[in-house]
Amino acid sequence: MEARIKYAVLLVGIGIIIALLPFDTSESFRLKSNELLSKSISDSLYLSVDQVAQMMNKEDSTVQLIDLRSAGQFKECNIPGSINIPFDDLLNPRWEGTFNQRRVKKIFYGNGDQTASYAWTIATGLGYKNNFIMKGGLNEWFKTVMLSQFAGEKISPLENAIFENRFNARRAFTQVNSLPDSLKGKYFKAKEIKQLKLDGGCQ
Amino acid sequence: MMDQLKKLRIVILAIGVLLILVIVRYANPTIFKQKVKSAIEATQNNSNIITQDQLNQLTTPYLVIDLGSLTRHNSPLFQHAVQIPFEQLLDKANRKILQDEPGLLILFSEDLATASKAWVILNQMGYKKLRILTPEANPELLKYKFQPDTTARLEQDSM
Amino acid sequence: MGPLSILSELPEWINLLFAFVIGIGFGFSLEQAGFSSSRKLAGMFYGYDTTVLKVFFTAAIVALAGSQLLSYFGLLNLKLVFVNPFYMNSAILGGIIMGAGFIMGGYCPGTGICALSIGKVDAMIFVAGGFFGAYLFAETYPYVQTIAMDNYMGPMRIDAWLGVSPGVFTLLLILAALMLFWLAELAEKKFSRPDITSDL
Repeated sequence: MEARIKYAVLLVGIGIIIALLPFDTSESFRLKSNELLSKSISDSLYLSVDQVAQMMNKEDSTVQLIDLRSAGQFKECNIPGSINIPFDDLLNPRWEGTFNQRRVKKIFYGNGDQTASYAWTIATGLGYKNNFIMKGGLNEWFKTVMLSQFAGEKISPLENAIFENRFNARRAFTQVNSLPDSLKGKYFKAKEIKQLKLDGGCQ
Repeated sequence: MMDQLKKLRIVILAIGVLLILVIVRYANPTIFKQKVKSAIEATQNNSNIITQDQLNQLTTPYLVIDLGSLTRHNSPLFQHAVQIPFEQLLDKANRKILQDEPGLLILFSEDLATASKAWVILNQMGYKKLRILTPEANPELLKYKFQPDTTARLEQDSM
Repeated sequence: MGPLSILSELPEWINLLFAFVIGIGFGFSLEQAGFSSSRKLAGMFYGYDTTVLKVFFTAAIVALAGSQLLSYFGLLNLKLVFVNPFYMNSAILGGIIMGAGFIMGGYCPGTGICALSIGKVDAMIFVAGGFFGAYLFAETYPYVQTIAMDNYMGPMRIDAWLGVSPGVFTLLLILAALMLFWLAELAEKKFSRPDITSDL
């Protein structure tokens, strides 16, 4: 029997198996369940609001804050430097580039812990690395960074550092979020353009 | 006909091996087979959470899964509860408990983040009757209002 | 090596080494299929030699089936595989220009370099012409930009457009390929030019 017939039968057989494959791996988690679980139990995936405030003050470029709330809530106030990916839009291919950066820390936050935890688990399950959750979300941010006051007479150097960090973050947060909408738009556009120029490539 | 099949035996062998590998992979229980979209859709409108009050009024059977590791003394609020520390959630014995339960599975943890992560993992493993027990009806509500400073303008001109 | 997940942790130079070896493999397979001969390539248009169709289409279905299987076994992350953005105008116009060049010259860019490497003079001039064409495009880009960028349809995939799953599309493409091969055999008998094919 000719080799061509053999190859043809082989290819059709493989084609039939592929057509009947029971599930589409590109739409499910890439990690196995035990791997995902062992990543989820670690405590190192949480960042406190103080740590995030410090990263924001330093304009740490290895960090990308991701706000998971709706566009309206994002517009009202958000942590400067964050981008808005509404949780329902998480799987949109346009965010693939944001998630797929191995060296950038991606920090998810919502108003509380729940949405951030969902998003963290999904991003890690899909195989992306370097994901973090800001513990407590914006509720904790407001409570600690924006509104906490120092109580007592004497202040230790450590407490001094913490409170200075918080005051700086408070100022930056208030200033950027108080800009009128037109200027806020320009500010974010300018940051976006700077980032695109750094990325290079065609558009 | 048999003659032709005999000539094709290498091809049939190759296809058979492939088929076996495909089936073995499918039968592997640690692989996620659900679409991620379904997890996101299930969280819309907070339809996957349940508050303590709603739990008290629930008439259908349910099992509360306590994901903490400290033994809690039996709270009168949970009628049917079992303790499975989060790290052991996917052990064989625990998976049997989860599969055998006919009613709702209610995930509880003192730390809402842990329960949420467990929810995503179990949802993507195929369990559909899952709820998270939350202290309040909408844990993602922002409790503070931002006060803008209307005299603000950027100090450095970065535009 | 690219989206193959088991190999993605390797250092950069090993990836480049793989690329080099794959390139050698590609050149070798083109050459052993006889694609350094412009008469064999032009035979695809005139109908007396359909080797081009068979080789390239076979490569396509093997790649398609292979990538689907690797993705199923978790070895390949299909999300990382680049899908070209589809500009309808550019695709049609570019295809016409390239097709005309292919038939007139008897080479396409890949086989042109393949023939160049065995020293054929017509391949050298063909490749030079190709570079000149690219230079011309770059220089006149501001004028052709509007036409070239028109009708942008995003990174489209046929299986998404047809609404079938990728697996079913693989089977359809394999069946289509086998049917085309059979038609190609018929065409070869009808349009045969023994004076050329005996020489190849």
